[in-house]
Amino acid sequence: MKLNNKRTSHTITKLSLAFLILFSISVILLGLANPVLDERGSILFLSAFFCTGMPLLFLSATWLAYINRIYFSNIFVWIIFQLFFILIMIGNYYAPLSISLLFTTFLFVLFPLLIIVNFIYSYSNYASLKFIGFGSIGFIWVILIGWLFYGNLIEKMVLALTISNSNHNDLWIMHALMTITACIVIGGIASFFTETIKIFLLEWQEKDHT
Amino acid sequence: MNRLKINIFAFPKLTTALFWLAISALFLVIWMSLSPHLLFYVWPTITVLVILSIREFIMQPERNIHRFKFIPIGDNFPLLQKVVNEKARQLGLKRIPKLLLGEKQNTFYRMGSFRRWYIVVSSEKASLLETQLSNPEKAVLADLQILSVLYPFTASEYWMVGYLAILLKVTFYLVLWGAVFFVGWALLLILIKDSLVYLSSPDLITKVSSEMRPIWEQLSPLSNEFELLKVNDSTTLYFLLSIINIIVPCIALISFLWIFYYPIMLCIQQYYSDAGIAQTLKSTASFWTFFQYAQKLPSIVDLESRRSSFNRLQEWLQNILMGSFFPNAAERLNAIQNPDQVFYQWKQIARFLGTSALLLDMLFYLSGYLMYLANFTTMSIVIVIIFWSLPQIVMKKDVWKDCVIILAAIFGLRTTLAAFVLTILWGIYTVKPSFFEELITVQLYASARYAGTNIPTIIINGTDFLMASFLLNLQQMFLLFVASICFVMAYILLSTRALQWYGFFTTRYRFNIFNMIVIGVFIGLLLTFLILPEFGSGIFAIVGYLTLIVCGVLWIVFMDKRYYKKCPVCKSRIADIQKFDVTCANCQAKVLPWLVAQYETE
Repeated sequence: MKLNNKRTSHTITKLSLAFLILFSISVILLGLANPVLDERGSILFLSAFFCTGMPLLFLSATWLAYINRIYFSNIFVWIIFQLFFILIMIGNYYAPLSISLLFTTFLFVLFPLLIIVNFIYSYSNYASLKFIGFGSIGFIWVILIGWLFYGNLIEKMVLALTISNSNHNDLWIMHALMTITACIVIGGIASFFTETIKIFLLEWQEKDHT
Repeated sequence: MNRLKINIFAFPKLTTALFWLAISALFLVIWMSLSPHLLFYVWPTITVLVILSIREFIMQPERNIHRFKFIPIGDNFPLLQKVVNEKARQLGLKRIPKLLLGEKQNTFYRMGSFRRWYIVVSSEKASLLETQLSNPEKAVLADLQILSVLYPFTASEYWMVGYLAILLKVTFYLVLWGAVFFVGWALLLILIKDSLVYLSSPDLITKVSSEMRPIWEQLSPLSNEFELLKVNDSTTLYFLLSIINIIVPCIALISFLWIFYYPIMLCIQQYYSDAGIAQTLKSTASFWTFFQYAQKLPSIVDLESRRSSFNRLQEWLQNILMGSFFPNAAERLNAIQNPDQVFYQWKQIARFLGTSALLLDMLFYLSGYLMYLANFTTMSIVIVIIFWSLPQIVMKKDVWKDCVIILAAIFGLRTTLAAFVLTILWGIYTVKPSFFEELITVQLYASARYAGTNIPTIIINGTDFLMASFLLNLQQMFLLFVASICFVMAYILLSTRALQWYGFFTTRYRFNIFNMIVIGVFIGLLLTFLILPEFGSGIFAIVGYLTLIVCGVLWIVFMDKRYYKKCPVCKSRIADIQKFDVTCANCQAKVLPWLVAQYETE
């Protein structure tokens, strides 16, 4: 049976949207109603949502990215996606606790999605080497410059993980840039191997790549 | 008019030799740059370089198609397609190149990878070619242009020239990437070294929550993991100089190869292409017709498309030292009439080699590996001289004197440069000895890729150091000069004699293989004795060399006895002849017929 991409993507989009709305409302309500729920109840509630919803959300997002790969091969869409990730990261750091859970959930989905988007862009534009090259340089130099600006990053990160009010710290840009560059490198490497195998095979078969 | 012309295809291909020399030089410099402490990275680096360059070379046509929006020609211009197919078959091409339509005006050039070939033509140019093809008087003009585009596909130098350009580009980018990435990585390690030790310190552990405290307490300091963490303020300079020492020779060699070497390869490829087309057409008439019509000749490179700012810089730099970048129509016509011109006159050879060696020496003086690289430069010079002298030997010219003059000029220049640098060092030492000692110490540590804290104290006696430098450098130059002269002379002697083994060299392939073996033996000896001295010692090596030399001499004596001056047909003795088209007086058989170019000249 041939898969109808259009219908599948419509269905998945609608299901994902429904899930996302339901989940967002639930999370916000949970945040607002936090005082009335005990700790164990909220953990169970969240676990149930994460276990059922997260895989679905991730799969639907991946599928959508794949179906709309033509858009993701555009540099502007690609840049907008990176900016969107930074915005989510800001939200994760600076939003009130009740909403920041939502942003954290988004981040869980966005990490792998970011790699997939980078892979799609890199593969469509033969940009894997640029991604690996600039991504790796960016990763190292972001840490280096961050260290020069903020001081001991290891200590700051350790403290951010362990001290209760450390969610509001100035490392959000570091985290965002490091994650973006790392995802660029990973997407680039995946794209490089796929591209290279394809290129060598097509060369062997004397077929055009385009 | 059927003048006697030498067949340039009878000799080992110059472009092939230049390609492998460039590849060897590039990999040698990478190896030298990373040795001794980073030798672990040599093979990964070379593997990455090879994969990336091959991948880029294969992708190049697609990039151009994508970038310049070329489209398949389809059913347009059927006459042009038909003639391209016919000419491709006439040249015996393995595959027919696909025609693509380009937007740029007056475009007509080829591009391709190993197994996919394309010809890009603009609509205007395709229309013009079709018009010319449909007119019997002007069809010869279109034919020549089509053959000029197609001919390079017949030989392996087509991919060699294209691949070398890509390899240089990829190496340049890889070196730049390596410089930026590893400088960042190393600076980061230097910056964080105290923090890595501090990571397990009691101060931090007290701040960690009680659940995580046992985990952090188990963390051991990471400082022992990294050699770079030993760098302190006083050795940071040495460390940075080490990185410069790795990068500078690579960039220097890539620049040299790109600016001077690559254009020479293109020029020689053009000469080969012209000679090949003349041999295919059995005449040079179409070249003259085209020249009279257009006042120029079709070339293998689309010169118009090479007018980027980088190409202009390349052309400008080459013009300063080497003369014109690409042979003009008159030079090409002259080379078709006199194919031995392809191998240049001795003055040009001396100028090219002298300039190249001098430039490389100057650039490599910046690194600590001049000795090895000087040997490689010498090897390259000798190989180029051999390739140049071979047609002269065939044409019975006296090349001994020219070879000695060329080698004397080159080594004279190199010795002068070495003496000049050492004189400057003497001057510095005389004026300010402390600065001289500091300079030498820094260079020594940097050359040793030394970045640790336990610096061994080096006490430099300036006078002794300079005296030893003078003696060793000048002695090295003299020894290299003598070795080069000896080898070139031995080669000339052997080749002159071997060229009269008429019964043996019945095909040009045998002659080529013979020459390649002789050059290979020379390279092997030089590599073993000079570049890899550790393999040159020991009784087994000496016994091996002696056995090889004895076997070689015995083989030469045997061949000489069997084939010297003997006709391959009637086995009678052939008298001395001062021409290269030898005919047996007894049976009138042509001896060494492959040495003569089979086409008529105007």
